[in-house]
Amino acid sequence: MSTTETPPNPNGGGTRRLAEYREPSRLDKLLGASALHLVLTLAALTLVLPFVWMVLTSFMPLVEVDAESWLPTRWLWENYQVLFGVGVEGDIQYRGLQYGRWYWNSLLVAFAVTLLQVLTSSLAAFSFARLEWAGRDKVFLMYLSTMMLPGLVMMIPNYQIMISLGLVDTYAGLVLPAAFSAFGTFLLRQFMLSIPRSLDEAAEIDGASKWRLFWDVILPLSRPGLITLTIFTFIGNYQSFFWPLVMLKSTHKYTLPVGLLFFDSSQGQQTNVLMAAITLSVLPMILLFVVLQKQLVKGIQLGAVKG
Amino acid sequence: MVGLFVLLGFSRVINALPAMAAADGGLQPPEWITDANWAKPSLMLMGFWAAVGSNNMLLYLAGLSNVPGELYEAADIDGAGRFGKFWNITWPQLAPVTFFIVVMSVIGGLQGGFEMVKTMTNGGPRESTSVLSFYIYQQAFELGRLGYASAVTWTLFALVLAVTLFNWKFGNRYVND
Repeated sequence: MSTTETPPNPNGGGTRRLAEYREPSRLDKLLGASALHLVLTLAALTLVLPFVWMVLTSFMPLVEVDAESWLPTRWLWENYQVLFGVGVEGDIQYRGLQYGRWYWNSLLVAFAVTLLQVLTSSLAAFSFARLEWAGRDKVFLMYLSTMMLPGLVMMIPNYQIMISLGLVDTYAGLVLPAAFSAFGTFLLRQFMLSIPRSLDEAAEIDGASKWRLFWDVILPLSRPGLITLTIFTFIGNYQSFFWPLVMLKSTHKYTLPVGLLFFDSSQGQQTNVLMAAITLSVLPMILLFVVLQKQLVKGIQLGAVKG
Repeated sequence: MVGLFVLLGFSRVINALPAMAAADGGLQPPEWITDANWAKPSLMLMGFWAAVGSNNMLLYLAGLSNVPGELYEAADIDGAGRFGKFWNITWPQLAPVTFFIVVMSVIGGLQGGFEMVKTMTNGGPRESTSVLSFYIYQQAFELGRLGYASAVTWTLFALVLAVTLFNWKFGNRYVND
């Protein structure tokens, strides 16, 4: 830019380099900043528009969905009421719609999976990071290598196991296969390895058992790792679609993603009601994101740096 | 991360946008997800939209904050412009992040797409959107051919592994640390 026009300074060397440096002019800065913001605004709009459309449509009557205007002529709460069966009692179109129940199922399953997974992962991680036993690192490597297998490869054997256990169409069938995680164990093990060994020794001198060492020393110090794993697991299971779709047969046991297929069924496409359903479904995750944003970002970055 | 839910309704959005253009300027929009030629590109667009706002942006954010500030100071002193700084400092410094994202996205792309296909096109029109994960689901859980579907999952695994090894071998060249 403008700096290149400066004639070379005869003194040469380092002083020449310094002399050539000039603050960018104010106009230059302003132009750069506005161009930057223009591009960013466009990008942000592209990402946000579908959300805006979703929320706006959720307040429309069905006839306005395909209309030119994105704004509803009249803001309706009916679409949301329909989800909970208000005002459509006996309407054949909504027979089998149990939105509230599905919502509860989703939260419950995600919560159960998260609790179990964090528990088993932290115990396994403690064992891999702190206990000495023959072949420990070999076992860990084998456990880790299961992460490379695509989920799809394990889906069918898992399904057959669930059939032989009689757990098809139960919540246990949803929760149990997800209760163990190589990724979670790996994440927490890396965390625990960074906790100084001297703490273990101090605890041992004080006569603490292995269990107390785990519960009172290691676990509290692994808190950032535990929180990260909790968020990931919860979000992942709240929106999981494939496995519940395969496992669940009875309508009242559906989780939200499977339940949302209801609106695409032969009863016709109730786009406006579907949008209301999706808007409500997304709320917990938006809340979680707002509250735990910093932890979440840190967690994603942690996974990347280590990965 | 809320992408999946929104994707469930996205087919309607992608139909609504060009319909508006058509009403104003007389353009003829394609039949997006019901046209066998346009269904795949539509799904690609949606998948792209969902991926941009996901972890990838946060990964780049992390990568950016790890670029040493001294490099930019040195570049300022040498009189580098904005573009020069980006091309010679930022982009090369982000190479490991880019590599990670490329590898992971390719893996995810090869295995993914099930949610979109199942909820929006059911593999149609004329099988044009039947991705491997959907095909496996169909064979295993709709037709009950569990053994055959298992075989397909292993070929998928082989494919993912081969592509990842290729990425690893040839992509690593451009990562200089």
